[in-house]
Amino acid sequence: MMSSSSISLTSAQAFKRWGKRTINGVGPGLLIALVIEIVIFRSLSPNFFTFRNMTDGIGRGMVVIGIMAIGETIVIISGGFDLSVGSVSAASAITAASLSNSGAPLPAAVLGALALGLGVGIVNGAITGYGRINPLITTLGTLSIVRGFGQLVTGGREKIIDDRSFLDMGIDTTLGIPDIVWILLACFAVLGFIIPRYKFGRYMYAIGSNDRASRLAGVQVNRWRLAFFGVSGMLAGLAGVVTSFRLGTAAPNFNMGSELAVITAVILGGASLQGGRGRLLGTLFGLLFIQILRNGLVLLSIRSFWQQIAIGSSLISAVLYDEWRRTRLGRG
Amino acid sequence: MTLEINDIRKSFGPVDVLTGVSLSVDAAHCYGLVGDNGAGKSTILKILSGVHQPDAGEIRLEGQRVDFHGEIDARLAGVEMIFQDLALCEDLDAAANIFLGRERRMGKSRWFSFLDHQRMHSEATEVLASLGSVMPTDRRVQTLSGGERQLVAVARALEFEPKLLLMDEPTAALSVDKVGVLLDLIERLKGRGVAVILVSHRFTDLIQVCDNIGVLLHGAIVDEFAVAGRSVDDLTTRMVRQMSGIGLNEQV
Repeated sequence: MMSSSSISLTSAQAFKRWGKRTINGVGPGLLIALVIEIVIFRSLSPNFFTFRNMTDGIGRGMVVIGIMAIGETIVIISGGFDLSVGSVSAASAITAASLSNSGAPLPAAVLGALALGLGVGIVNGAITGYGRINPLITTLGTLSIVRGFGQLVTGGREKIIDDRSFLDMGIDTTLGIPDIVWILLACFAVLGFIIPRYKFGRYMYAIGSNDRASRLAGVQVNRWRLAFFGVSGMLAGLAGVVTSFRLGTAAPNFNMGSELAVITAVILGGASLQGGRGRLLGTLFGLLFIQILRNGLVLLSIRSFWQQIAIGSSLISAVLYDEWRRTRLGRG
Repeated sequence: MTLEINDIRKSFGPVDVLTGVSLSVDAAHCYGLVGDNGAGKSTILKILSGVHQPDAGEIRLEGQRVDFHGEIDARLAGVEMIFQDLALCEDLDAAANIFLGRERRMGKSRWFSFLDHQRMHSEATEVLASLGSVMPTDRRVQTLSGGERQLVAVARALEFEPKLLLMDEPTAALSVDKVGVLLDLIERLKGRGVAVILVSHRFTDLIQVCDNIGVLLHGAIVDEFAVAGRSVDDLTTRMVRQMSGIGLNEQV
């Protein structure tokens, strides 16, 4: 009797501790904002809290920025910044479309797109690491270069993908949930598994926290930067493919300006621009906040320009709140 | 471990930081290095810890010539360094900092082995306990006091049983009672056969734990003497005079 009650006590304590850590990690502010947001949209729109809106309006709608946000989280925690994700997603979609239209099966086309993303990511990592160029400048450059190449290759026109299986991927569901939502969840699960268990995650935090100290401790900082930016690029490539799944086409203007939503999701999720701090789970909640906001505004038929205003405002509020909380807790 | 360095030279661009430094430290001895700012003390330590490579000269450990191409080479040879600013990652916990770059893992696979968190925490607890600290190893360095941070940096160096320990101004950030703890620690390390090089501005610390003291001026050692058998006043005067380049016999 004694032992079983003490065991359940410790597991209850462990659960409480986990809950506390999660709330602290994700940020109580974001969770409260999320609840308020859901309550408001639920009371204003009868369609909001339906299964269909959950899976399609919110679920499908957040896959593309969600996949990019995972990579962005990794880069930002490691002390970097990746503005090129939107452009890379477009170039990757074009790559997949070209491969597919010249006869490659879907998996091969997807691999080609991922390889392109990985390649651009590695270039970003090499320029910021070995070239010691600020990641903001580097990826602003590749943002423009990669977008430009996409337009050059396609002549600025949309490419229709002949292979029907692309569109099927975007439409099909498994267990009632769209396949592309499963792709997003799988990405979260895989990286959520890797980050606490491997050097990849340990060094991501270490380098973001203090790259010089990491170097002095013998960590191959520049090589790891290739990995962080490489993963971000590859995920951006996947996001591009998913965009093609949804539309059955590839266009050079895919996901233009999506960097705003991606970075907002990551920052709302509690990642610090100074690096070293942030959690993947936080990004998931940040993402939910943004997507519910976008979805709710659409359901209420509010003009889409307001989305941009709302996302920008939440970005600034999140950073202000974070700053206020940090100085209040005395953790500069 | 016996360390011998012969005629080490190092320039950064047009600036000759080290113009030919030679010194030797025996196992279980502490060598104190003093000198004014810019005399080249930190550069010597950085060369010995593999951060910088010398332009000329040689380093011998136990009589064997070594060439360090990076921090890892030096660490594999048994050289550990505690940096002046401690070089800790603020966002990582104490255990993660102690094992940074040399994580314990469950298995031998280069790519697929998991980090062994449990082992790192228990080993970190042990090494901190050997330093007289009971701090929880899952506390982030950001939340630690100056003395506790110092302990983490020292624990990181000790965890891998160094044969030569390099310390750059280790007492600069410490309160008076913590300085005593650190100096005791140096004595204990000497007792275990570790050779120590201590760079410090604090003459009293140097006199307390060092066996020999070298004075660095403009990138070369201008005076070297044993501590034993000399009075504190003598030693202090000698260090001050040599550091400022006045010489021993001139009248001021």
